[in-house]
Amino acid sequence: MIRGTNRFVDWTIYAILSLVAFVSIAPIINTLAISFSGKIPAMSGQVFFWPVEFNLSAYESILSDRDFFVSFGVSIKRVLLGGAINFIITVLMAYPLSKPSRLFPGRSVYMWFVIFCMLFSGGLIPWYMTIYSLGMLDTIWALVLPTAVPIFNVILLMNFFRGIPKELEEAANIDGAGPWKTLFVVFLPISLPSLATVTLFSIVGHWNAFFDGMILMQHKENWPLQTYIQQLIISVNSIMNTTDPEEIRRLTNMSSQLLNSAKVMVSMVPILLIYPFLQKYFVSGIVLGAVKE
Amino acid sequence: MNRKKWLALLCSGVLLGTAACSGGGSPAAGTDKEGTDSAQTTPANAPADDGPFAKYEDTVSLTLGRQGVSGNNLPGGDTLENNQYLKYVEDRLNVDINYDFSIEDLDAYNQKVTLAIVSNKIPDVMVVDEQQFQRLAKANMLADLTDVYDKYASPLIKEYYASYTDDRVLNTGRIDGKLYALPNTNIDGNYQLLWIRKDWLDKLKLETPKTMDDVKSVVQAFVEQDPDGNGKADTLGLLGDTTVVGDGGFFTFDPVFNAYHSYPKSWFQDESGNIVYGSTTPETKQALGVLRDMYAAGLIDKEFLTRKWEDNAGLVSSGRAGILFAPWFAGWAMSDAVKTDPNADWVPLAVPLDDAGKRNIVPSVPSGSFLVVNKEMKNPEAVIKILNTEYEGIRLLDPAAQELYKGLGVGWLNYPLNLQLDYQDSLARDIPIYEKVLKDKDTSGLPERILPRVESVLKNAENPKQDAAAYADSLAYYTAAAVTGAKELNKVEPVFYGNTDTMLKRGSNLDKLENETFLKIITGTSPLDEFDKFVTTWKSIGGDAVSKEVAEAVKNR
Amino acid sequence: MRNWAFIRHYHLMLLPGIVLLLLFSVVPMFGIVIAFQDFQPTLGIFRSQWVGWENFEYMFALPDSRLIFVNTMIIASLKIVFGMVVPFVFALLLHEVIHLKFKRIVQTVVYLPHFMSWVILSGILINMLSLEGIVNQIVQLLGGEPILFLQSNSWFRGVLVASDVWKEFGFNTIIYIAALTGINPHLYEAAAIDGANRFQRLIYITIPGLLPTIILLATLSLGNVLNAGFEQILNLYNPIVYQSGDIIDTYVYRAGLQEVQYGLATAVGLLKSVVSFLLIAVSYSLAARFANYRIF
Repeated sequence: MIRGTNRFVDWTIYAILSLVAFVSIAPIINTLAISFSGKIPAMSGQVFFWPVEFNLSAYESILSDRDFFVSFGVSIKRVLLGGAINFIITVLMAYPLSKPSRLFPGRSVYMWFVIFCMLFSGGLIPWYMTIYSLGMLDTIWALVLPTAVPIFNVILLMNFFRGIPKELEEAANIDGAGPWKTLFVVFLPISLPSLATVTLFSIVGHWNAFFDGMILMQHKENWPLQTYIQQLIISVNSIMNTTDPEEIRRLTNMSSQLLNSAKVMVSMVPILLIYPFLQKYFVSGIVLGAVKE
Repeated sequence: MNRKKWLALLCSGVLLGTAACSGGGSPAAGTDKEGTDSAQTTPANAPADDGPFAKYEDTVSLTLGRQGVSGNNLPGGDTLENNQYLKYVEDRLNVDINYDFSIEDLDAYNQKVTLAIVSNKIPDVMVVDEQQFQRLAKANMLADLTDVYDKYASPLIKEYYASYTDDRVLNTGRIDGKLYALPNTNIDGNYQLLWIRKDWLDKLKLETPKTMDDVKSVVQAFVEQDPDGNGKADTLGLLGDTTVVGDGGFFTFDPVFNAYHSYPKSWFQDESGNIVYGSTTPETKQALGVLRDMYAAGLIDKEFLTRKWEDNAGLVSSGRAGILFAPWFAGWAMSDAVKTDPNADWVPLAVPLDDAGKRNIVPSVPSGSFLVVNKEMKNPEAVIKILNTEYEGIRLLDPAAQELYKGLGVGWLNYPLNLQLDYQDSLARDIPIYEKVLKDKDTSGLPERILPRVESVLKNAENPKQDAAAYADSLAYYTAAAVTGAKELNKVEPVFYGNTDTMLKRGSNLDKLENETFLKIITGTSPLDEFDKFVTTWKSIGGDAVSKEVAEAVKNR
Repeated sequence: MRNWAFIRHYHLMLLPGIVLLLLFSVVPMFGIVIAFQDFQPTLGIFRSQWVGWENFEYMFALPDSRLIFVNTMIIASLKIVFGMVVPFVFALLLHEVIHLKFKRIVQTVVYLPHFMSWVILSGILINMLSLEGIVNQIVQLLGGEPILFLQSNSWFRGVLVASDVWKEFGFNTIIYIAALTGINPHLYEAAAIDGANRFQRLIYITIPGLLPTIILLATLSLGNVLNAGFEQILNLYNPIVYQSGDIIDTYVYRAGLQEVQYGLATAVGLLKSVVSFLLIAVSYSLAARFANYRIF
């Protein structure tokens, strides 16, 4: 290569990039440091990027927080079930839609239908009423079925499938493979980067969703973790409209910045765990799926 | 308070309790002794299918929607929807209570109610706020409870409601003379006291504040003179809440308004007979100006807009705040401060006083939450019976209920219906009891319901602040409750409570406008004169119509 | 060469997805009629009274409506501009790095916030931007007065845009990096031989090479000018900053679920959907015509 002719410019670039990378992750490090700090330093802003008065009390109290783990469990269940459904639907839709209209005459009708569904919605209340009348409120199905068709992922994978050489498919067909076998034996094995990408997206999407949990789950035990955290940390109105003495006593012992930071950190763990494995795929997966010139 | 009167009432309460028990059939001690229970359920003097406590032959199922319990402290895997209190009620009446939803956060709970209303699928029973109640009644979704209340409500429940002058509580549940909801009862004395760190006052050699100016200088000293002596300027001024004003609210600024003869959110008749909305008066503008100057001078917590209730409580317990407004029952939150600092000494005061040396208050609205029953429900009387039974448990009138979670401090909110009921003067009537017990150290003959508190007060008197729970109880029920009866009080009675048609339709927009304007003025985002614009806008987007309706309602009384 | 047996299987493969879309997207769309009704829950959408355009007229009469449309467009446009410029510059800088391991570490780190939810990031931001938070500690170290970022109408939009850039810029570099790798390396070699310096190569080769991508992204982002970020704002705002931060989506949410004005909420939502749909249709056809790009 013929770069690096100017040392000074190089060092400047490295410095800027390092700085930007640090700033991107600094808030997370700060939160991590707070979660391991003592209560007083955490509340009075003495913690920067290293714990002050190191202790594990916040994490210890999470261990005894039943609600947190119940919600964590709901989220895990949601990711596994929802991710699997998303995967199946994505693959099954992307494959026929990747066929040109010449080979699949109904394609453009389907395509327009899908795009229409992506862009239009009936609004919150009718959506709620539909799910209500299907009897799905408070069940895991309300979290995985309405989001079962990840249209963006379908388009991504469809574009990738289109890039697969026709010869591969034709050869398989000549060997007597039908569309199902072609899909599973020929297409899927060579689509790993794209499959990893859409899987990552749907896992992250399911893990991060809080709004549907808030609207569709009637009991706290069914809240996914993000809904739990949203209600805990962000929602400002926790006090009841009846002025009740006992509530006061309990609320007093609840929620602190310290504990919240620890909960935020723990809720990141699953994403941090899968991220390195899928990260090496998704850049190529997105690029191959999205950029078509 | 007249001693004879409370004794008489107390006795009648005890008698009522026992009478009610024998009338309805008292269950056996444990909730799990189903067998022995059913053997003695039906007393000879009451028909099996009637009476306030009669057990059903066939299980009656009902669905319930209510706000959950934040930070619930039930032992051993029990939950709001599965616990001994609930089971006690269910077993005693042979009912099966299923929670449709139970969400803790108020906004989220209101959303659930809204969604239930809009999809026309409300649970059999809900506890809702006044606007939701009116909306449900308008939409013709509620059962008429007039007859079932008369026939099935226990004497104790009726006694509670009857203790309020002019039937003002039950009236809020009536529409056109028919009872569509059982309201909760807001007892006397729920107005905000000034809570202050006495140890900080002493340390800085300050007098107990009386007027608004005193309060300001105390706050200033707390902010600037390092009252906690840790060498850091980390103590905050007056705590605040985004609602700004609120009946019985925590950290709201009502007392400041009241000290300037301003009574936001209430309706009054001025000298010339016109109906006036308290939030729009010149006095309110003056009080806002005071708050605004305090905020600008750093005397009000700069961040009160983004603090949750728990955040403020955290500031109290960690010793960063030393002055705030809150009702008597804040005693429990305040007592927490001794955990971090054993010297912390929060005391309640009935201040600030106005120019005439009075602590003006607006008596609480009669009720804020409403127990409503779905029109489609087959056994509306079951709801009344549940409430009857529940209060036998809450007030420990039934010996069996006394055993439930004994000594664990499990909250009554874990009973199915979170509707708070008590006598209008329930605070004041107990004070002489505490005083007497503290004098003679004799607890014999006292009703069961008050024993835990009396013991707390005694315990704390012997070893002040040593036992956290006893200290908290004593601070709230005794110390603060006594202050709520201060002689400086001046009650300013509003002429109207409740909602009118336009309030139901436009009320949320009006309230939003008011709250946003007040917040902006206090925090200095808008100039003080924005208030005049607010009054004009308020009038034009529905305020005038509301005033007319209120005047009409007052005239028709 | 159509194969009818295959086509039957194609329909079959699409069936589950289409059924789910019908159920959860199309059925609720009929709820749009609420926008034209005085909706009464007990009567339902079939028996509630029709009121024509009344809800829309009320919407245009409300002073809030103008505010939320303006806020939405300003916030969304700022996000679009910064959301394109920052990743572009970052990608150019990253492109100059030869050290592969360094490059990979930087990429891994800056992609990360994209995968965190707004709930989590807002929780972190609220902490960081409080008076005791790290940002104000730094402001004070530098001699400034602490700032209430989330309660100030002059800062709130800035916080929204900056935090959106923080979350997404790393991820958005991917597309530029892909385009950069698509530039023919021989061009650089030839330029070097001709004596072009680094800056000249940037101006004459790299930027022209990225131009189609930039134009394409700009065109496609047209469809987003009414999406200012519901989840982000819902989790960060408070009544004091409605003036600068209340957008269509948060307004619809509050009107529908907190203030119980179903008709109004649905009407506002419908208007937004229609305008968005038109914008997206326009932007996609522009992209197809000028950049020869088809997303589907």
